[in-house]
Amino acid sequence: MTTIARTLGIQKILDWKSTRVERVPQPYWNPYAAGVGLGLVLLASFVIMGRGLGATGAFSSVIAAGVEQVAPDHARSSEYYTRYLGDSTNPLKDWLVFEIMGVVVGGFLSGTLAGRVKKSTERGPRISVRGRMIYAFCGGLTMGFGAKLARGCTSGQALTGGALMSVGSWVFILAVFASAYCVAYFVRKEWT
Amino acid sequence: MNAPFFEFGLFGEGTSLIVAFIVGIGFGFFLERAGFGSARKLAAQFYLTDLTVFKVMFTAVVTALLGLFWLSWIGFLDLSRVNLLPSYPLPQAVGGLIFGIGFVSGGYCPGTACVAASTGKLDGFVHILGMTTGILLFGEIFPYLSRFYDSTALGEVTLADAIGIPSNVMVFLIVVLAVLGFVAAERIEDWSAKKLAGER
Amino acid sequence: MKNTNRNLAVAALVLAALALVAGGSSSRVSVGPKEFASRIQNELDHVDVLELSEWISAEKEGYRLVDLRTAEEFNRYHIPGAEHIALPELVETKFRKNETIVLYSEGGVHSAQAMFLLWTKGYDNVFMLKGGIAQWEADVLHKPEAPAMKRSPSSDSTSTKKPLPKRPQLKEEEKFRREC
Repeated sequence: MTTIARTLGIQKILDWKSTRVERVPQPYWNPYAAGVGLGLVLLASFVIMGRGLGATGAFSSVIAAGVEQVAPDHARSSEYYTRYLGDSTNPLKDWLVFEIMGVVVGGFLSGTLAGRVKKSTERGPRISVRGRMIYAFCGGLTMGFGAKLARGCTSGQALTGGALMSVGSWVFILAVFASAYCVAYFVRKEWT
Repeated sequence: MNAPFFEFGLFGEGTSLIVAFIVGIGFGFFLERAGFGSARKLAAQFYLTDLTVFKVMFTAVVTALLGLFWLSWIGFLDLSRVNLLPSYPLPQAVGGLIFGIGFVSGGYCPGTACVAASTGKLDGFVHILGMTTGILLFGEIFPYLSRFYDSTALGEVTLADAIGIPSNVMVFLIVVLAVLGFVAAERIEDWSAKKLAGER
Repeated sequence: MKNTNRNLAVAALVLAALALVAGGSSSRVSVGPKEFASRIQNELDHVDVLELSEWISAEKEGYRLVDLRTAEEFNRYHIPGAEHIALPELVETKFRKNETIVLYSEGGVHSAQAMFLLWTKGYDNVFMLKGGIAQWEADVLHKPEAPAMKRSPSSDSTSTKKPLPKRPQLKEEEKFRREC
């Protein structure tokens, strides 16, 4: 059993009993092992629910619910928000909303175990915190818009749709990589 | 056929939300394990210095792809009940291009932004705010976009259907391409490391 | 780590190569005889005329209504939204994999047989209109104030599983909720 586990690089999963909460940030896992783990979670979702993962939809639901609270007439007359609010069920009682809450917990759990939870700002050596934050906001805005237009993001379209071999999803992945590589040069001050 | 369990009525909507939460925990856990709570690591993909994004994503896809194929083949999983995402190649391509711009400049995607925020990254929080704004913006101008949004509706089409080859052949091709991609990725990373070392 | 990676790659390639040899699941019928029998028994294989009339008045989307009779009969009268595909052509028709198809004929015999044919071809979101156009004429055309639809007798009490197969999505929101 241990030989198989070590061969598959998942010895670490069996070692969990000896896991302690680290203080010093630990190195990341072997990317392929993490990928297998992620793939198994995705597979489990298919097997249990008949659907894959996602993220953008959760935000859309929360935002739709928020807009309805703040400006109910606007929400109900909007062609877009009504798609989330149309029937009487609470838009927050949504699979993706609960899933994304789990993502936050899971991320925190892994980070805590590996000593990687720290108040910080990810940025390259040549940019200031302020600059980074502006990029983060604008990049987030662009990304969110693109995700809505594409009907999903890397979790929903790339991972889920990718595994299902859906044409639109693969088109999406290719487009993301293509444009990101092209634009990387222009934002190099942010990261390198 | 026993799976998907939910589609066979093994449990109800309420439980499915708990399932969602647990699945989410697994999802977030492995994202962070891979290092995706770090925007620097995510962005490095596009500077060819660290190709973890490619490796993790495609390993996950291959794992799930093979899992889906074999579980269906042995008759455990009813693939026709698995929700295949409908394809709208044009808006998805354009959306992807826009997403890519945002991905490399913002440094996160929605899932990883949450992981970043949960591990203390302040830029993760700001990114989420930006994303929220972007989604709101989309919602507001949606009426002008809705025709484009619904264009090129191909329905539920797989790559295998579109090219006209059997799905098992497609699975094989994807796995082979992925493995070749991984080999290439390792080489590229070594080359990048040497280049950086040379510059120093 | 290099060892692990190589092993993972080998495992993946082996599984993929086996898949190549094993043959696609698309050539295997996804629903077996036992399932057919269960659906027929639990009356999950048909759509009531009243249910269909509700779908039509709600302008429901996402399904195809197929008239299996002759062209003359179709031209004389057909249920709104129906398309004409005679039985011989039906088996040649390529439907989309998860498409919902509702078949009807004069009564129920042809549509039942056609439904079965399509089931064996691997399409399992196929239903028949119970009673055919005869029932439609009796209950819908000539009785505009038909009482509220009574549920099919066995669909709730005897079946412990969720109604199978998947019914098409009714509302736009549901489609959206299935998004990612």
